[in-house]
Amino acid sequence: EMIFNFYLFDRKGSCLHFQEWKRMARSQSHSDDANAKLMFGMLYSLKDFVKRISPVPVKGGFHHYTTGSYKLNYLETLSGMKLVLTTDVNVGDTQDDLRNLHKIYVEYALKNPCYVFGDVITSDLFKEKIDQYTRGLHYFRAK
Amino acid sequence: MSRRGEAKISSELFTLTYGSLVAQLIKDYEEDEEVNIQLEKMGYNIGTRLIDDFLANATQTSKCTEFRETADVVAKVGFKMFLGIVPTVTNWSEDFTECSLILDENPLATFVELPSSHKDLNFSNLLCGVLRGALMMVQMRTDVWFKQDVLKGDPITEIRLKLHEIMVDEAPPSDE
Repeated sequence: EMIFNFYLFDRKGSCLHFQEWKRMARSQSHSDDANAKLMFGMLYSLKDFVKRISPVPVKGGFHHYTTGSYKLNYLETLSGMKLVLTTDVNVGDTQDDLRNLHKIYVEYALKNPCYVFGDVITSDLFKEKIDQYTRGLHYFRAK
Repeated sequence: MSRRGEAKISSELFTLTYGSLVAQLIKDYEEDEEVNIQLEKMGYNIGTRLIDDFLANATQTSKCTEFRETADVVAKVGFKMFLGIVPTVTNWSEDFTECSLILDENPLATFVELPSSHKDLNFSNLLCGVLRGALMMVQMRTDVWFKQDVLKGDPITEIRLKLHEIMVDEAPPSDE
């Protein structure tokens, strides 16, 4: 079990934070920036798709998808913040962990008056807290 | 995870801090209308951030299905969480897009007596901005204003909320 990376987007699709713990394959597009754009586009389309295809009224959108090689865990807050944690396929439900990562964003980025809303988060304390929390998850165990 | 700094600060300190902020704005801008605008703007910027703090800590996590529910959550959860008061939601328009929040007490204005030279000042206009900003972040475009204020000699303090539209997400820009 392990965690690969974490993305945080605002409603408009700016990637406020990206952090990576493990990578086992080279992705097709080379820059993190391009990957973030792809990721946001996919989340937007998938959300739209899930809504369109749903036979019952949509409440919380989608929470995760699993491929043969990784699992993408997703949380979108009512304010449109989007949090993504990609993990190993065997990792269970992560909604609460994603909620806690959102709390870290609120406490260590948003509440800092020097942080400009919508900008990439440069605070070291924030990065450290995200890193600490993620490493503390029982399914972290990256080699 | 526990919240950092849950320790309470004195409500007097809070009230007096807000009071000196307004006093300084009056010095800087002179006109009451201009001070109202500045307070609303500041509130808006607070509201756009505060909403995430609210969402991170409120137990309600599902989306409101209608504006009536939203107004209820604003009063019972939002005001309670940040100001410790629960306004009454009332005076709904027929189409349920407009309502009033009646504040029995206003923690921002505990020590305030408005001199007659400032009869156009909406002393607590920051609150209107906070509400507008927070609702904007959950896709509701609203207008919020003080309809009555005991500071101005009205019998009650009434904040009016009007919903204009519920916005939809814009599509991400295409690369082409």
